[in-house]
Amino acid sequence: MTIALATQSDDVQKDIWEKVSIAFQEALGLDEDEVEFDMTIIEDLDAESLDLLDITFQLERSFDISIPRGGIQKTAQEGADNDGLQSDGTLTDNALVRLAEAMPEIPKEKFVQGLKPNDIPNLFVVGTFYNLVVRLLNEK
Amino acid sequence: MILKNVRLVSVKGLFSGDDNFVQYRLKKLIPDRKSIKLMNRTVQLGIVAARMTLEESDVWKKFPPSRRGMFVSASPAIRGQDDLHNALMASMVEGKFSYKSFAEQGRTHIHPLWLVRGLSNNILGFGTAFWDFQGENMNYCQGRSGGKHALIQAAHAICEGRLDVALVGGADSLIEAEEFLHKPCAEGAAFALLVSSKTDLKLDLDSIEKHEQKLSELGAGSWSIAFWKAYESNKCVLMTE
Amino acid sequence: MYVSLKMGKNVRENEIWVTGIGIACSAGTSFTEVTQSILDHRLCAQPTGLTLPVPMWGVCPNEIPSHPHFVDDRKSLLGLFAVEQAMHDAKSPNGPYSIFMGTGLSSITPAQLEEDLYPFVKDGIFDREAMAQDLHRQTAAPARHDPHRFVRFLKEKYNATGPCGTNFSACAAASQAIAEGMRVLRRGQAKVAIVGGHDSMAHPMGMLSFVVLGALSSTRCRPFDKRRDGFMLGEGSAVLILERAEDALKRGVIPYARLCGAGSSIDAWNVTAPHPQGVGAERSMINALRDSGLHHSDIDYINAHGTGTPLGDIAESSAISRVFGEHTPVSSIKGALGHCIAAAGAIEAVVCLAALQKQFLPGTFGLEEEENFEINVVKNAQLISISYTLSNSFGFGGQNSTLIFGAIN
Repeated sequence: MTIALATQSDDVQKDIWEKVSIAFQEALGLDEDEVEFDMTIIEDLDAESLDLLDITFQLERSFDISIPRGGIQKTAQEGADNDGLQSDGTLTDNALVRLAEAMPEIPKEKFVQGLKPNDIPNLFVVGTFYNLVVRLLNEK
Repeated sequence: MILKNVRLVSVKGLFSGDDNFVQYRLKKLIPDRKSIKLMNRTVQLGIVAARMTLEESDVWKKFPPSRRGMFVSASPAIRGQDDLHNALMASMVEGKFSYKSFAEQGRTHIHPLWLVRGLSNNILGFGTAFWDFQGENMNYCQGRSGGKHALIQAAHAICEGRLDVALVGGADSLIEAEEFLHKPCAEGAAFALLVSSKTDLKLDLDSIEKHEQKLSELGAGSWSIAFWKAYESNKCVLMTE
Repeated sequence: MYVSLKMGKNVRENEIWVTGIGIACSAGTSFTEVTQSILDHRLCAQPTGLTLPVPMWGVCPNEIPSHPHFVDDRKSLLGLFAVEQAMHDAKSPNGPYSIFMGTGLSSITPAQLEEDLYPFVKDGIFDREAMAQDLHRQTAAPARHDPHRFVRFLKEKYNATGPCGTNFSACAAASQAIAEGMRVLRRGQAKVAIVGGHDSMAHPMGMLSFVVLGALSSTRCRPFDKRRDGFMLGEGSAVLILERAEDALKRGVIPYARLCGAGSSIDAWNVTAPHPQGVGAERSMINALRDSGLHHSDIDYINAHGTGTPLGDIAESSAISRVFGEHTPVSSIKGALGHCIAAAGAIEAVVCLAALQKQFLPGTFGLEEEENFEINVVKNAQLISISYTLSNSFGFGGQNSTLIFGAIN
C-alpha cells in the first residue's frame, strides 16, 4: 500500500512521524515538543551539515532504508535540471513550479523568483525528511 | 614543587567512587545541548568538572580571551563498539577482511560522527568555545602522568608570560573497560583554575600521589582527581607571598 | 660552517637548533629524498588501488623495518624509524633527553581486525565476554590502543629523565610537541629534545572516519584551488633533534636551522569547523612571531596547513592576509604528500628546513586554478634566498600551532 506524502502535520502517519521526530530530537538535543513538521531545518532548528549526516544515519537505521548521500539535495534539485537555470544562476519559473510539486511540505510562496539551487536546503523543513522517508518506504 | 608566579583559584571535580557522585543532568550543566551528542562520557565529565571549577570564581573573566588557556589530560574513547563490530562482521568474507565488502556493506554501520566523538581533545574544543578561552592550549594522552604534566605546563605558560589564566585538569571514564583491565575502574574529572600572581604555589606532590594510590584505575583523570582530593583535605597546596 | 659558527656572535642566548632530522612519508624515507621530492614538485602520494569509496593515497611506499615491540602498530614503526634516523643524523647526543611526540588514534589494519576480533565471532555475532576472558587479548589489545605507548617505549630506550609527553591535538599534535620540546630546552630541563609526530590513518577505519565527514577529496587534494574538495589521507612520521646552540657548538655538529619560536591558540568556536575568518589561526601566527622576536616582514615563506578543504583554506588565507598582507609567499605540500594528520606538523617542519637548506620555495602541487584569496600562493617550486620560514598546523577541535625556523648564516 502506498503511503501518502504529507503537506502539513495533520497528514502524517503517526508511527513514521514519531521515528522522524526522534532522529531530530537526538541529533539536535531537542525535546519532543520542539520538533514540528513545518520548522525549517537550518534556520529554526539550527542544524549544521554534521547534524544532517547524523539525522540521515538515524533515519536509515530506524526505517531500514538507504538514503543516498546528498540525496535530499539531489531530490530537490532534480526540479532544477533540464534547463532549469537562467543565465544568472537563478531557477526558471518552470523549475520553481516543479520544485514546489516535488516538495509539497514547503509552502508554495517560498519558491520565489531569484532562488538559486544552493538556497534550496534553506527551505527544507522537518516534513521534507518525513516525505523523503515515505518515498523510500514506498519504493521498497 | 614550587610553581612560580601562579595562584590557584579553585579546584573542583566529580568522581564515581564518591557517595555523592551525582548522575549529573547534562542538559542543565552543558551550555549547548546539541553538543552533548558529540561528547563521549570522558568529555562530558571533563566539561562538567571544568564548569564547576569556573563557577567558583569570576576572576578569569577579567582577562581577555587571548590570555586564557586550557590544558587537558584525557584519553581517546572510541565508543559505538557494537557499530564497529557490526561493520567488521559485514566486511568479513570467509574469515578474512574484505575491502570490497567494507566499502559496500561494512561502512554503512558506522555512525558518521564516529571519529569526532572519539577525540579526546573535545574537552578543549567544547570547553574553550563555551567559555571563550582562546590562548595557548595542550591536550595530553599519556595515561596517569597526563594531569601532572598538564598542570606544570600550564603553570609554566603563565610564569613565562604567555597566559594569565589557565584552566587545567584531566578526565577519563574506564568503567566500561573494567572487564578487560581486570581491576577496579572508575570515572571522573577534576579541573583547577590558575591565574598569574606575584605569589608562588607550592605543591606537596607526595600527598597527591598518596591520594592517587587510593583511587581505583582512573586513567588520564587520575592525577587531577587526586590533586582535587588532596586539595580538599588541605594537604597539598601552600600559598606563599 | 662549523668554524664560522664558533665566532658566536650569531648565536643568541638560549637559542634552539635543529641538529638531527628523521622522516618517513610518501615523499621519501630520508631528508635528502624528501627535499628532492619537494624540489622536483611531483605527486608523491600514489594510489594504493584501494577505494573506500574515495581512493586511498599517500602511504609510505618504502619498507619500514619491523620491531618486536610494535609488530602490530604501523604508526609506531614509522615513528621509531624516524627517531632512530634523527638520532643517528644528530650523531647521538648525550642526554638528559626530553621526548614529545604528537600522535593519533591507533592504526587498525585488516590483519589486526582478523586477529583481534574475528576469533570471537560466534554465529555472526561478536562475543565481547569471550574476548574479555581471553588472556592474550587482555594485555595485547589495550596496549596497542594506548596513545602514550610509543613515548613510554622511547623513554625507556633512551633513558629519558627530562619531561616527556604525548600530544594528542589532532592535526596540530606534532607541531605542539615540537613547541614543547623547545620550551623544555629553553628552561634547561633537558639537554636534548627528541620531538615530532607519527601517524597512520591509512587503514579502513581511519579512511572511513574522514570519508563520512566529507573531508576527503574524491579526486585529489588541490590546496587553494577553486575546485578544492578535501584532502588525501597520508601517513608518516618526522622527528627533529633539538639542542641549545651552545651544546651543539660544543659537540661540533652542523645544525640545520634555528627553531626561533612557536605560537599556539584555539579557535574557541566549533569542534568540527574552523573559525570562518581564521581568528585563531591569526593569533597562533602572531604568538609565534612574538615568541621569536620577529616582525611579520621577516618571514620569507609560509608553509600553510592548506588541507584543500573548502572552509579550511578560506579561514587560513584570511588569517595570513591579515598578518602578512598579500606578498609573503605561501604554499601547501598536502597536494603532493597527502595529509599525515598527527604527523603533519613535523613533516611540514622538515619541509621548512629543506627550504632553508636548499634556499627554495616549495610549490603547491595540485593547484591549477587559484581561488582569489588575496595571498601570494606559490604554484611551482622556486629557487630563492630565504632566512625565515613559518609553518602552520591547525587541528580538528580548533587547536592551532605555528612554528618559525630561521637559517643559520
